[in-house]
Amino acid sequence: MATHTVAPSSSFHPHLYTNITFNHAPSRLDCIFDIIYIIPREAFVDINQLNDLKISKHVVVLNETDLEAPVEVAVRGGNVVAIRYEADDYLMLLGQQISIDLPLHMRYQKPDSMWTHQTVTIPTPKVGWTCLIDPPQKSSSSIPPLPTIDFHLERDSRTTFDEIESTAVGNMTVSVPVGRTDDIYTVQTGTFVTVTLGSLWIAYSLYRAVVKRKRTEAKGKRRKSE
Amino acid sequence: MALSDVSFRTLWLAAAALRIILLVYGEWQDRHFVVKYTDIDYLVFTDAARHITQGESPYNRATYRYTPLLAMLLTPNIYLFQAFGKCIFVGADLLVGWLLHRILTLRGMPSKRALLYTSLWLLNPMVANISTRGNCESILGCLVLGTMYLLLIRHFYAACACFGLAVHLKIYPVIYAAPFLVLLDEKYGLPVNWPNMLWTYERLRIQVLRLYLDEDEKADDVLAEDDNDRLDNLVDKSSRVLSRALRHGLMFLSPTRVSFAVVSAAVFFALGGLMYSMYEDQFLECTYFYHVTRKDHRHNFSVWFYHIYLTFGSNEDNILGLLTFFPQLVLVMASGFAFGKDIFFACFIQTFLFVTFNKVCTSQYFMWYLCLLPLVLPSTKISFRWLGLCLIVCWVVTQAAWLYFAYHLEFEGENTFFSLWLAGLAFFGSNCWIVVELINNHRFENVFGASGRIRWCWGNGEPKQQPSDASSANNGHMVPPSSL
Repeated sequence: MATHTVAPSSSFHPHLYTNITFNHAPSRLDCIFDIIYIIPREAFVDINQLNDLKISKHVVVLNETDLEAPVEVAVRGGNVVAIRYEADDYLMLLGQQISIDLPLHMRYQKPDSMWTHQTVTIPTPKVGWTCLIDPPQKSSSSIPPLPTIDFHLERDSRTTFDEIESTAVGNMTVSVPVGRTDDIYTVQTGTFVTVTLGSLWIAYSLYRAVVKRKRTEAKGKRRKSE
Repeated sequence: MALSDVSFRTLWLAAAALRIILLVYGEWQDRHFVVKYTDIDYLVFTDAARHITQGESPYNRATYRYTPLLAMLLTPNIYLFQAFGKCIFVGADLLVGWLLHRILTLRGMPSKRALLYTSLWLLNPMVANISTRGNCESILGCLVLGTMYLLLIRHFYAACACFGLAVHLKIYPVIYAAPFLVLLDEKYGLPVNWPNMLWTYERLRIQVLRLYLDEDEKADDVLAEDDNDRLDNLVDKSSRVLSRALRHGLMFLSPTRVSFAVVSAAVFFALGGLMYSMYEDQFLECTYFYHVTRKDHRHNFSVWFYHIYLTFGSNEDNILGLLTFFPQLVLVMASGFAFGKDIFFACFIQTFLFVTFNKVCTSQYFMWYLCLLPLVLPSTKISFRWLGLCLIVCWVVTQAAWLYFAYHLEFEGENTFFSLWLAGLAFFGSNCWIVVELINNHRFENVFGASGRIRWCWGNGEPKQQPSDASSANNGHMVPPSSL
């Protein structure tokens, strides 16, 4: 059985922790063990960060690749992240408990008039064995494609997915602070007034400095260093 | 060891040792800790360099928004060792220190006293930390200071090339065009032999100016004789104002200034053209357009960030873009033209204003003006006790307040947006105060004297050094053309 939890529950950088005991042997050695995360559009993973963490030999990240967009601009939706273990690697770890730490990053959510936080639910990951329906040729070393799961993936009729039990520990939710639309008038006025006053103050000091220098030059005063 | 026993070589070696220690420590921390020493930007540079070694575009790396030249420079990260780029940045860091010391002594400061100001950069732990973490800002500092130094020692074309390269690397140094052009005044002599084309331009310019000058005298005579018709007066006055503006404009466009603009632009466009031929629109979009149109809705030091977040995507968003640009542009240009002949102060104030008023402001932007601070302090009347201390404390405290609320927002998930905005306003206010005090307390020092030589405004040079040694920086000094 696999268990999953999200922590901290309120942050822009939560982590999705997965604990699995590798005790489900595959039906065939050409199958691949998949832990598939469906990340909603309110969050994203950084594939470069995952590659640096070296969680597994095969990490697949699909869909939205913009790391900076706020949620309303993330048009491609969330991510599908698959951490894949080949059967040989799985069998070497048979009986061991594996912990996976998937770092998430929350996008800035749309400002709201009522709430100070928005709650984002992370679906429980799916865990299981992906096998090709037609066994591959002996010489072929290709890894089976990702199985058909939800609407994020293209339907692939070449594979089967033998799912194992996967449960969430606690709420798989992340609370993200959001800006208050009620603040907009105050922020707009305050920012413009501050910038205007600051600009005028600096402009005045520039003007005084120039006038003072012109007066000095007009007097014909020369420095010793001249 | 007393200051008198320390030479620049010793200081420089100490700075190099500090950076080597930090480099080695950084590699160790990256290997043994979850929290890495290396900046995320360095990983972006390395990934982009890796794409280049694989024959791909560096822009295949998400968030790589720099010139491909930088990724090319860092390809030894892949071929040799990953910390190669950090060594380059550290080298640039140390070169900035050398340039600072050279410039200070060129302006008459004794070497021992110059060490004090240079150590503000070389022994500054924040500066050493930034370059050893893999941030490339020291390369920009090197190019900007290099341009100023080359202008000082009258290596004109090298200065133009340096400036063109700096603007290619990051667009912000283009703001220094204003003070550089002001500095290149004809009365300080010609820094270089003009080619024939420029002599032709000069003859044409003089001819046109004489025509304008003659018209001004005639216009004045007309007004003196007959000023009954108010509308005619208004038209005449307007045309006189326009005439004078055109005259001043043409006077400003001396051959030296024109050649600086043309040569720098040629270097910039040549490099840009080369990169465009390799990477096409992606190069333009990522290296330039992104930075010009960038509106970061995520929290940063900018006074505008919360407003941008609350209005992101709305119609107001576009108007905001124009309004935020206006005070920044006006103040940066005005300070450049006002203080151009005191080039270091001009560039420092310009950079400080640019960063303060920008729509996005992160810690690495502070490096852009920190490298110029040692060249401004010798001319300030602000004493450390107590005004200087108050300014520093204000800058640090407002920044610390901002960081406190930002930490709670980002890592604790608390809604501190409004407090963060207030802290941003306070930080903006403290920056405005710093700029005003620096301007009000600055002893304006022309870089060049009436004779065209570098003025010794910060001392009388080394005790053994003869005043004529300062003129060694003026090789190639030529007699200016007769005034108009």
